Amino acid sequence: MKSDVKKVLAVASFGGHWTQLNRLMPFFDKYETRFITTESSVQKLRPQVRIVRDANRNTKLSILICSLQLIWQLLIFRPHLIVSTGALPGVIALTLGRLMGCKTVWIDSIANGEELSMSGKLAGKVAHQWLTQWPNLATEQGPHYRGRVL
Amino acid sequence: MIFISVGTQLSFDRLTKTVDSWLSSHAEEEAFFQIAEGEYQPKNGVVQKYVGADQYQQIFEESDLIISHAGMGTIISALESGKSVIVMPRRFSLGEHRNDHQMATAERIGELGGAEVAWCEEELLAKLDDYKQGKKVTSGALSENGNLASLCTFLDGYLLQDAK
Repeated sequence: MKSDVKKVLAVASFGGHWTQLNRLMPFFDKYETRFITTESSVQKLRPQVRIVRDANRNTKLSILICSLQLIWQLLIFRPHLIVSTGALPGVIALTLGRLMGCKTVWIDSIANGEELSMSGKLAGKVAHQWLTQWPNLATEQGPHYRGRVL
Repeated sequence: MIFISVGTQLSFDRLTKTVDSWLSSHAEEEAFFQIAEGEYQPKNGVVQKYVGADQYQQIFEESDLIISHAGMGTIISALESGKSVIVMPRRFSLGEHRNDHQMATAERIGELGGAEVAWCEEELLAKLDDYKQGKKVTSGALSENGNLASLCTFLDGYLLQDAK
């Protein structure tokens, strides 16, 4: 049942970030959600998932390619909201999306229980909603704790 | 079958070597090793650097026991599938990760849903022996605690509110 026509873009690099993103399916299922990850074999199970180049801070060319692919995905899909659980491709998606007027949510990985990751800290500068999955890491200025995927 | 996974990023030879040594005296056990860029080549099972999403799902279904680094991807997949899982955290001091966040994850694992933790190679061998003797090594249960529902409710509210 689609309770609303709002469009949501869900972005995470493959691996633990992607697994965590998919835990949020009860939310995504209620809207028109498009998924983006970095590993093409995902399409063998879910052909509708879009793939972009994986990128980290040591791969400058990949950052460029990933950014261009995300710009394209944003232009053709025009989401109202972007949600990411990491890592750098998610930060890029939130940054570009915010410039295009989307609402943006960063959910820092549940793997970071003592300190936010590099991407997580970076995301604090761009995301409207900057969340951690650990109450002990939440502060008044953010990141905030609003629940977790487990 | 036993599935040994070191995740999508870094090698973890200490884990693969320990399980391989145990398997050498348990020839009847089938094993699948996913070793990333590991230098150590296990001899007692199928070995692959990485597995795609489709193959990962298939191996998971065929496995009775998952042995993994303390990465949240494997832990969540194991909890969702109800499979037994033993994790051994990577250690920064041994050059196995960029920091000690896996030690922290492992320490909090009870709070996250109850996978079994082996803090060192000896403990991993002991837990494998337990498994072999038919002892249930983990709870493998994912409890409904409201945390996920809270997060989804928050996202709903944020998406549907008018102003940013």
